[in-house]
Amino acid sequence: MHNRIRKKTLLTSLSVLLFLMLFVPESLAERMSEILPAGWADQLCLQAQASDTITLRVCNWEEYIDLGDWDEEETIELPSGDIIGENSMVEDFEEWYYDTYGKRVKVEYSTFGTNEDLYNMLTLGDVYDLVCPSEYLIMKLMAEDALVPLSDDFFDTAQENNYYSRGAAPFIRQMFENSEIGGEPWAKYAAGYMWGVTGLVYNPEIVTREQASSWKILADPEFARKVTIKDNVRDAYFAAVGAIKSDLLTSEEFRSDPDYAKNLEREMNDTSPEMIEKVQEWLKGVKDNVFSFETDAGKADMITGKVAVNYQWSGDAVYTLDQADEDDYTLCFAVPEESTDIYFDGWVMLRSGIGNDADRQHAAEAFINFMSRPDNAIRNMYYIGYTSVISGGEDPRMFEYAQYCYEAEDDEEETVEYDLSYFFSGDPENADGEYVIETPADQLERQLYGQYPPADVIGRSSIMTYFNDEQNERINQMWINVRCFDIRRAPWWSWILILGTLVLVGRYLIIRRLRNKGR
Amino acid sequence: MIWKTFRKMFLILVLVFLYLPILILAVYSFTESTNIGAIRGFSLHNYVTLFTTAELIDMITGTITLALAAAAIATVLGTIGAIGAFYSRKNASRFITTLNQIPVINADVVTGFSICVLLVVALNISKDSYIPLLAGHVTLCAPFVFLSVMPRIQQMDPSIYEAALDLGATPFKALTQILIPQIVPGIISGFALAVTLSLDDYFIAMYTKPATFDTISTYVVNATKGAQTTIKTALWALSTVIFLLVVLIVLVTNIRSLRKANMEGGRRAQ
Amino acid sequence: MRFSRKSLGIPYAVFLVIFVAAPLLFLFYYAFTNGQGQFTVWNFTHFFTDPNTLGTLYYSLLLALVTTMVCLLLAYPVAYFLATSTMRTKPVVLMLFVMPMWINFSLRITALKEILNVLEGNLAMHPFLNAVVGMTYDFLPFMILPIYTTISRLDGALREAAMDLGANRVQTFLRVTLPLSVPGIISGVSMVFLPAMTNYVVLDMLYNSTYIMGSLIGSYFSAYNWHGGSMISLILLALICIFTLLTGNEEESVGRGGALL
Repeated sequence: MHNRIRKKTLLTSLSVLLFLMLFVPESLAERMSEILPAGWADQLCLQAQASDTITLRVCNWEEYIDLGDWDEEETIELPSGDIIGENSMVEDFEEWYYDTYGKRVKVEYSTFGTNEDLYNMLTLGDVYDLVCPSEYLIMKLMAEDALVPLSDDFFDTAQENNYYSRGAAPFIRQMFENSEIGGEPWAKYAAGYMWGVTGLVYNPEIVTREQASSWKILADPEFARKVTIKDNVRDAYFAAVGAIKSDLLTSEEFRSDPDYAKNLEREMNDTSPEMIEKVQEWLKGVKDNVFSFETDAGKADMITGKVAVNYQWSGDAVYTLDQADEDDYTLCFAVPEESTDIYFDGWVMLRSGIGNDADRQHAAEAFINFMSRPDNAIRNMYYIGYTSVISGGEDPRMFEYAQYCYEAEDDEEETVEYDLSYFFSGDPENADGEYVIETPADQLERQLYGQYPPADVIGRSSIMTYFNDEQNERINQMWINVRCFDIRRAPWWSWILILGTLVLVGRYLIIRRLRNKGR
Repeated sequence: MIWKTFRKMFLILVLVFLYLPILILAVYSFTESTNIGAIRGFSLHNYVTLFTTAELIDMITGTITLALAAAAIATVLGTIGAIGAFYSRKNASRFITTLNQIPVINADVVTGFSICVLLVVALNISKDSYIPLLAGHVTLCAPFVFLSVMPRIQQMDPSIYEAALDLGATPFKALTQILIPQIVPGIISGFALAVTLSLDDYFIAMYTKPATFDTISTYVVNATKGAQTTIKTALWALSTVIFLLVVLIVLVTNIRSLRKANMEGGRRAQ
Repeated sequence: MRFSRKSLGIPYAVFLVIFVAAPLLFLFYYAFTNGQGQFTVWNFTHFFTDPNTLGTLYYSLLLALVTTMVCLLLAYPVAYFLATSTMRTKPVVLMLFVMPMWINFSLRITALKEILNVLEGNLAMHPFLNAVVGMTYDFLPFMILPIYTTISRLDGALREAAMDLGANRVQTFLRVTLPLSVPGIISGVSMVFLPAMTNYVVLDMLYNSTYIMGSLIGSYFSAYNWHGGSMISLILLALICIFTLLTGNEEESVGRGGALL
């Protein structure tokens, strides 16, 4: 008996040990590091870093930075010098930091897929120093007091290495200073990285530009199963509000109001219960009209001609148009007349990562500045297709790059003048045609229109603010409801089928039970 | 006669339904086409991409490593569990078999979600530690190992084990040298089953995997949402390779059993 | 001295408690609490009062029902013809029907998608049809195998006896073979019906953007709403329990395992 109990205890404790082993990452890591592929083991155990090296944990969007390794012929030849990405941007930064400040920095670079993923990685305990979320998550993080303000040094334009403060486009800087959360401007915490607007990529052979210039096209039965919409609630919500309020938003009266910008932002950020209800109904209609809710496939579907209209962010729109051009297939990009969502992705430093570590903060700010150095901004732009917030300041290369990409060849028959002074000069009124590109006429509807939307598009753009927890919950539920089946639309045969089966199964079960009893 | 032809035709039609997509994909994987339609020239570039793209290789080796690790743990657990349950008192045995049945009949979505809720949300174990993923796959596989070992134990002649004990073997020795060898076929098929289940799983991996890791299933599903055609056609090659591997394995294992059956049949005829 | 074998059950029991029972308990906990950790039945009442979630339940049931029927209509003749055939290559042919199960389902659906794309032109036009075809393609072997096993185990003498007693072939089938193969059918149905209610990846991949029960869990998961997801999981669990209780076939419920082995 005694023996029995002892053995039982032994085995129980053994099994508990087995599970403890499972729960202790380090011991598991050691055991597994030999069998597992490389990378797994690194993930499992955080390697201790040499103390004189600063570790900078950066988390950015997937495929949102130049990884280098360009071919020779990809060299961008600008009047101010050639630009080519040989090594990855992160490696270049580490080298540059050592050369400039004499200290080693090791960047632990990781990526995220959506803002929501990033936010939840943070709440579930992942620690980063520098992250690059979109504007609404920046607002949310600001509201939660999760960010470290940028240092005064960072804004000192006298320092040569402060590429961000010296080079960020005035129009972006203004927006960052004018938009406030809790009485504090974004600019205090965030430095922009890429920006753009939302719009519609369309096939000009099937869709007219006028049709593609309204969000209403997404629900238009003329293009049944030939349009795609983004599979994320914020973009879908924005388009829905735009379509529902189309008449108001495009009315002369609304447009000419002196408070137009403010009114527009209010209307586009309408999250009243009635509006959510209307959006749900509209999106339900869209659900049965679209080819797909897509996160990434829309680009390929557009290029292969499966769809005629693709709700797209301007950066990806440029990429789509470029890809289609390679197949000699012409696509265009339009921004709806109602309004467009102007978005930013920006660098912010997290309190949970940086803490009071001045060295680390210095490295983080240097990273932002390095990304903002015009040649690097161009490398990133070339590599990912989005538009950098950097206009270059006194450095001419950003504008040279725009010219390099879009200036018409000498033999081009039809050209137009495309004024970019709103972006490159702080003072469009007195820019004196300095920032005008002579571009092929079709660029008014194509890549250039997406890369640097014209001033009138910026004029009707609106920021979409973050949803608070309560709005978020309601809107998420709305988003789920959209995809649910509308029981009122169930065809008659489905009722017969379901009820009939129920009756048959019930009958069978009763008969079986009776028989079993009879036995 | 008509009936016989009909029977054959029906079987053939269903087989066509099952295999046509895979075979067409196999044919197209050897071409430069990116869509099913016009065939554009013979090419092996899909296979080159498949075996040279780091992302794809990582994904494949990761999936296989995971499957083998999960299956190994599940086989150990499931086997000792089955032995233990068989010799336990009725109530204990019932308790184990009932709990064991839950992951078997449960929907994978629910299993994956519940493990994620427990390990990641409630206990705050990082997905990056691979623990939730491994635990999830072991939970998926172990019950099936249990079920494939159990019948072997039931069919076993209990007296051999008793005899071993009578002859002076310690219980541990009797277990490892007498009992386990007799149930080896069950353990092997349980292991094979576990590997298959882990390889085929999507939902459990989806809910428990680290963001940077992909199994074949999660990768393929993501790739269909993606825009890269080179990846898309490389997956055709992957599907062909797996198909050929399965055919090979089936042939090897079945030639043996077919031969055995023939020999037995022959003996009986004698 | 038997205890040593007996206590081998303990580690496994501990394992099951931790990874099977405990997660279910936590599902209960999360299903009946809100974000602040307070007790609530809102998730529960919401599911059964909201037309959207009820619509999802309806759609999943309908889809699962149609899929199961199509699978049955295809699988039963296959299993019957195979089981009653006398051809020498029978094991090989059976193997052919089972083999697709060993190829990763996502790859098979990718293959099917390409074919459907060619056949339909625009895949998004027929979402329900796509879902049914995809699920049938995915689950058909799971229906064939248990039915085949049951029919081939039937004593051939029973059929001969029926014939001898004057029944024609149809009568023999309807009154002898079919009723006796019901356990196999039930087992097959249980292996197809539930996955068809939950495997939303098939729908996603085949351009059906309507939610089924599984997608609800998926979307709550992506929205980090553990409470909503737990409630849907519990409801599915309840459905499974009802199903198992009604059919009450404990031996046959080995499920996928039985089919795969």
